[in-house]
Amino acid sequence: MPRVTLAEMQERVYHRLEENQLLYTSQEVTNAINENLMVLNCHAGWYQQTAILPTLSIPGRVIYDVPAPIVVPLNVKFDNRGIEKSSLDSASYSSANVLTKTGGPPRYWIPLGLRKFILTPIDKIGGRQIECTGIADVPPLVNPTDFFVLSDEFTNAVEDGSFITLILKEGGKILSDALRTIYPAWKAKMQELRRWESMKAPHVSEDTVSTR
Amino acid sequence: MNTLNTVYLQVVDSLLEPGGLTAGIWSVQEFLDAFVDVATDFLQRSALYKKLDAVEQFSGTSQYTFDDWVMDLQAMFSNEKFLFRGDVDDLDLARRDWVGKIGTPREWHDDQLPPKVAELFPAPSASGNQVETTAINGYYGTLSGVTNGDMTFSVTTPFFGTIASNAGSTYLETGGPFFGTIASMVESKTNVMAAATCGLWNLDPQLTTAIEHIHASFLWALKYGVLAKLWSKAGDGKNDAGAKYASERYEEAIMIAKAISMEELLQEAA
Repeated sequence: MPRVTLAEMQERVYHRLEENQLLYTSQEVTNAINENLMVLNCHAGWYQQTAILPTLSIPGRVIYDVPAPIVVPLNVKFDNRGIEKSSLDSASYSSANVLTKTGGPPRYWIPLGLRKFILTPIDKIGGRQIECTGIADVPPLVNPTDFFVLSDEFTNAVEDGSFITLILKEGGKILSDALRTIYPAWKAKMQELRRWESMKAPHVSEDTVSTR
Repeated sequence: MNTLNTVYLQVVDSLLEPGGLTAGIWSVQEFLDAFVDVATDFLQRSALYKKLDAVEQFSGTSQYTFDDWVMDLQAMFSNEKFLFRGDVDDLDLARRDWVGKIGTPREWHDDQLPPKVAELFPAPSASGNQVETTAINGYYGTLSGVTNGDMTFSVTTPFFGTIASNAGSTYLETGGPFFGTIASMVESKTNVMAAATCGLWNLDPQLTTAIEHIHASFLWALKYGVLAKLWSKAGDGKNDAGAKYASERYEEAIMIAKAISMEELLQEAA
């Protein structure tokens, strides 16, 4: 996939802004690019990382913090072994002692919001490595040579999004034109790139298809 | 760590006041008020950020009030045992004389009660361990032996930073860098603990205040939420088109947050 530097991206955005460097400072353009990389990440989850918890597992401890820079934990490994994700409701359905249950290494991890997760059963031995993989905070681009790696369609979406973000302050015809043409196309692209099934159109299922 | 200033600088750029609000159309205080409203709304509606809040359990007491920052009670434990969520209708249907029953709590509800209050059924038959803490002002040193019941709390020397969690059944969390007073602590073991969505701890922030709970990845949502509020205000700065667009972007972020909540945190849709 192509590598795009901040300088290249700024050039593309300035071109869309008719090179207006008086109204749009370099810092503003950088901020808009960084914002739209994050927006795209929220939609598509393109930036994923694996982080190891700063401390090893502690005997008897059941709740752990999701390590930075992970924002949305997708997978947890305990002692290099993948463990199954569960929810508090379903894990508690089989045993109300989800916070106190012991008996071997943890087999389930249960997200508790974005910042914490439960490991159950409790690790009684401790000293094991816990690894978390997930959608992470995108590191902001600061220097002209800082770069991101994305396919062209993603990069184009960042460019379109940055353009709209910037002209918002200008208002008037340029904004109304963009909101009529570029913004709907950008929204459609986000819909296409989005990883969240519940935000997509419902799938046709057997229940909704007439059999006649 | 991002401060409110990060969002402020981006908002003022969009308001055509680069560097700060000085033209007199909007004030910094209006920004701060809008920020608190938007961040609170985001935390409430997204349900992405949860905290644990333990309160002292008393024998024979069925109703418990949780802290002010608690928003939506989502799960409940008594003596670290998960309680099933019910409602008054269920309880009435199952057992007409449920009020006043004492035993080991199995169920909880928060309907037909004031905000931040939960009622356990049956009411606990035992009081929980209470941790005795001494108020420590301007603490800088070693906290090595606050003990009572099952709790032992220790930190490395010197102590100046954030206590994020403590091993075992006791769980301690501070709102930011810890330098101040430990006035009371309630451990989860033997007491009542809720997992709840949380609001802001600091409702009177300044531009230099750190943004609580919310990841950098969602700061754009706060920016558009604040812009929607400021552009909707009557006066010279009113901008209907801008407010409509900003509001739409904010709602887009809420939709994403709800999808994350459902699909990755395995929570039911709000």
